[in-house]
Amino acid sequence: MKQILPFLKPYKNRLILDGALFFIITVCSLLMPYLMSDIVNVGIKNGDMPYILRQGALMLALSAAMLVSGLATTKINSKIASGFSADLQRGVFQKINSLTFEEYESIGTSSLITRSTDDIFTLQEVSFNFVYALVTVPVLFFGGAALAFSSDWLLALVLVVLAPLVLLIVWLVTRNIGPLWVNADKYIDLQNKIVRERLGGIRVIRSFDKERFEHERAADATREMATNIIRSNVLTNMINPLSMLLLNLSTVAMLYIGAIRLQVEPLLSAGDVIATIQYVALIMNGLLVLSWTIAFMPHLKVCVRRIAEVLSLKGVEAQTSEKIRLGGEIELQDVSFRYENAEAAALSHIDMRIPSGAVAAIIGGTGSGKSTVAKLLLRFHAPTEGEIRLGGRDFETLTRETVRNGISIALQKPSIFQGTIAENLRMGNPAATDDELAYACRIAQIYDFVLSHEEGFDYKLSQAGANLSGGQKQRISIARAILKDAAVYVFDDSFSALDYLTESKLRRELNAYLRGKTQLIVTQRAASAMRCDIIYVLDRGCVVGSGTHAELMEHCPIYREIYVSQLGEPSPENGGAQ
Amino acid sequence: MKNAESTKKDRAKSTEERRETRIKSKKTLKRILQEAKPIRGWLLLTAFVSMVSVAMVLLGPELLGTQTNILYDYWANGTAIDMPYFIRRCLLLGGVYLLSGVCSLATMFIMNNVVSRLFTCELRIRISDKIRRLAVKFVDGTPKGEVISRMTNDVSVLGNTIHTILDLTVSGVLKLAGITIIVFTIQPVMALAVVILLPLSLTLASLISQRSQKHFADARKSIGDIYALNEEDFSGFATIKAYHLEARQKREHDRITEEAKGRLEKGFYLAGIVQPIVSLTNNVAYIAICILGGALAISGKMNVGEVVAFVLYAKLFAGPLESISSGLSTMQHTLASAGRIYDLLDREELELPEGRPLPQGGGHIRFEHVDFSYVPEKPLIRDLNIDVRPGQKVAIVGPTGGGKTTIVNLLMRFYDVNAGRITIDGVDTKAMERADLRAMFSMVLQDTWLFSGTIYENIAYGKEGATRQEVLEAARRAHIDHFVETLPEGYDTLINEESTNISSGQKQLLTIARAYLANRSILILDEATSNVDTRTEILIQQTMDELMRTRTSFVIAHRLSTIVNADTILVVNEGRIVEQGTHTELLAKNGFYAEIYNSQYALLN
Repeated sequence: MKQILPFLKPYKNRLILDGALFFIITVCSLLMPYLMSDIVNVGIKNGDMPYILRQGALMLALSAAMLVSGLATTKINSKIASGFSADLQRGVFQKINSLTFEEYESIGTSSLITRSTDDIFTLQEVSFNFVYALVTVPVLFFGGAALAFSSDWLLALVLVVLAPLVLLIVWLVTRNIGPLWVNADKYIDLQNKIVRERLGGIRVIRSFDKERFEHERAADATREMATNIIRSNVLTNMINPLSMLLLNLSTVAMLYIGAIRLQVEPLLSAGDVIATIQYVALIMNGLLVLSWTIAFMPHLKVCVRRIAEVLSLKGVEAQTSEKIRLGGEIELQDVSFRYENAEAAALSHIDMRIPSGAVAAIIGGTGSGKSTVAKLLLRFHAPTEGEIRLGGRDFETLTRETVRNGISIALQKPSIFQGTIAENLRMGNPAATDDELAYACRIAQIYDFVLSHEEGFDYKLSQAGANLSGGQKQRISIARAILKDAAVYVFDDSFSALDYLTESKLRRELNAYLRGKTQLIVTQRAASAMRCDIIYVLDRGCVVGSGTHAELMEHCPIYREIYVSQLGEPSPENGGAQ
Repeated sequence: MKNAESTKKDRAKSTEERRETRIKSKKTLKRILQEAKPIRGWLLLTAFVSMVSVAMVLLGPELLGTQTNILYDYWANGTAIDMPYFIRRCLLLGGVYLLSGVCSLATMFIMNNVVSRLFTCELRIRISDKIRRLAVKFVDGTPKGEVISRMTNDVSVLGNTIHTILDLTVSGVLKLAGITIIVFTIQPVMALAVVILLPLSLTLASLISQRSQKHFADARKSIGDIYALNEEDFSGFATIKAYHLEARQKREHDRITEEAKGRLEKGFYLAGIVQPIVSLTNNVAYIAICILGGALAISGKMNVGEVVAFVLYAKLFAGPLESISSGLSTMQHTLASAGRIYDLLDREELELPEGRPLPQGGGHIRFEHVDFSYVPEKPLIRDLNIDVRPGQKVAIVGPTGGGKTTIVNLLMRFYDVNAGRITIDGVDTKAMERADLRAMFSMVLQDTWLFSGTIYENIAYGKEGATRQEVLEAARRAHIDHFVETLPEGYDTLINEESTNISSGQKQLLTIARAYLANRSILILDEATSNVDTRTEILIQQTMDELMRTRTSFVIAHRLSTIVNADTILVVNEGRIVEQGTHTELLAKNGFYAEIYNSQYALLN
């Protein structure tokens, strides 16, 4: 809560005003039956028509006050709710974008999405009712009770019995409803998951003739879901009829008590009995609102906790980039890295030295640690041990921003953002001209694709590049990377979805374009690595060989194994014998 | 002039459209009624129960009014209270309330069970059953989310409407009619206050809320954008860091949240003012009753009890009016949902051929003059001829998008050829039942497909009634046994979307185990080991070779080393077999294949 309160601060005065207006509305609504009882007690009994009209006018004035206050609270409330939610969303969003990779991974993508959206929307919705309940219910309850007791204590006693009963019902219902909701959600998810799987795996399922089996699985989930939904709906829908019944029965009780009390208590009037019955009804409504608010408390608490958890993360402050042009030389000296909570080190005692302008490769299988090297170079993580130098300067002496300005990377999982092709490319260089975009695309072998669309560079890419194939995404991300002006270019498994023909064209043009700049090719393919100036072979986090292709074929069994499995025994024809 | 004409045309067009939607709505409505047949009996029963409930509800204020009047008469005029009579009346009133409560609980209970179990649940199961028989083409061309949303959201919307349909029709209309009659018999002038004022306020309210709906719809769109942006931002976290996109993202986020804020505020405001306005009219009606009632009571034309009853009837009047107006406003929404559901249920199903000729032989496959395209305007495969003898290994190579997977789609009849035919041992695959045809194939695909279940279940998926021993043997052959045994729960480890303890390479090995267990006579390997690491690949190769030795097999692979020993290599480009032959033959030809093959060694010249 501590983290979220500051977001409410700008609205403090408005919240207080809001509360005051709610107070007015509630008091007015309580006074209506009171005035009506006067009409009965005085106006009708004495046949005093002017009095009735006066009281009527008074009631009309109250209604007007309620209308004005109601409109005003609505105005204020809609401002608070939408503003608070937007502020909080921005706060959380910016916080998340400032997180370190460790912090980011400690929560995870999908949970961060929920926290920055669903949780805040829930908070926005519920908090709205919360303020209302917080002000209205006590006023209604204590004001109504005071009015009821002032007419007759025995009549008012009905409240004392009724209130706990209503609360008890709501408590019993909400206590049992939570698990049912959880269960229903579980089965809804299961049903949807199975259907999603069936649609995605339709070929496999049909080839194994398992459609009936899958259908039964989905149907079972659907039935379980129905059972849970029915139970929770029945429970929820019981509250209203039950409380209505209780209210009605207590009205009967009040009539009976009223009849007895009227005969013994000279101060009690018939109008009082009628008014009290209406107070009780008003209080009853208030109680229901309160109970629902209380029922939502656990849910609200979870949301608040989850949001606060994100906000309380430290993050890193953005540093400014120094005006340094880094050289292209990369040095790793005895670098080790271990992910938080991981048992084994991802990298141990890595030494690498890539001279400026060289084309280097890191080759290894999945889990060999080759992508981790790329992450360390971009300072996504800091090495647990050892030193990294870029252009001869120790990482420790540079800001993150300076390092990232000096290195351009095409990531293993290319992120395409919703927007035009041009917008996606200009992320690499906001100042790039159209000609430069075209040139980069030609090198990345994606220009034909751009031209194949009428809109050209203004062709809209969908979220996560859903309208692109894997290879197209990779090539766009490569074009983006080379548009950025840097000293070092890292291609992290960037060619894996390209066929050899395309890759070979792309690499040839890339080499011409990036002449003089350092290239680091992270790959699983021997063919992608073999012509590089220097190749590092990684296996289980260690460098098990380094050198040129020819040297490695001779001295590094793991490299040779990779080569042979992918390209066959070396022969003059496949470039093996040199 | 021209402008006026075009507006006229537009207007004509829109009336035409409106007419069409009306006809469509009517059709859908009819369909809903037809589909609700199984629950008709229950609906009638519930209608009867709710009629009882309505009667009791209408009786309440009348009884309460008379009781109150007895109290007033005693207090104002000193008329003695006949206590035994008064108590009897109290008990009667209590009984009426009790019965009405029990009836409404019963309606609620029946409707929940009937609608959820017999209607929505059954509808969902029918959709699930429909998916079984949909053409692959439809599934390929429809976003998964769309099918799922029809199955969940749209069915829910339809269910909710049916759920409230009785509230709307039976109790809603009966209550309104009953109250109108009663208040007019008590006092016509005052009745006017109720019957005119309240509907007026509700019309106003619904007009306002309609406008707020528009803002909410806009806001929902902005909120959708917020979700999309956040998802994109967080899943592209590394890119954002690498390219310093924080400021750009912040700008974008600020813009969208600002937009959503404005729309939400308007929506909240318009939705919010409905309440004060409704309560104003309710109050005005209340005051009117008090004043008029007071005047009439003074002149002796009405008693206090009747005034009280009137107040209560006025309160009861608002409820059904509200539910009817909200019911009508959601009707359009419901019809749209129902339309989407029935559209899915009415989709064309796969036709089943008659008779079940089964090919007898070792898997001799022929493509004869096959033409095919996914979309008619873009012919993809033209006059394709392939002849594969039993036990042969056929490799398919070529650039992405060239039509490699299409051949698999046709072979297994996920799609049907436009012209020509495909035969297995002389039998046209079109004459066979799809299930029989597919039972001849084992597939291992690049996109591994595992369902959420245990590792054991996923392997056993390949063979009905496989013994544990067979499953373990398959795992051993796929070289996944060691890995599975290192898992804390071994073969009982659950696989699901989030499971990060299994790499994509290991998933591929599981599908290889599954294919091994299935033991079919024709094998399709589409990039089957693309994610498997090199060392395991060497081990698995032996199993693969063994599998392929005795079977007709189709292999698609990027890594040319895996296909050099194929009996026939089909080089596919732009939907055509451009070359066909053995590795040596094709290299000697020095054509497209040679270009592809050499490109992998020519990466850095």
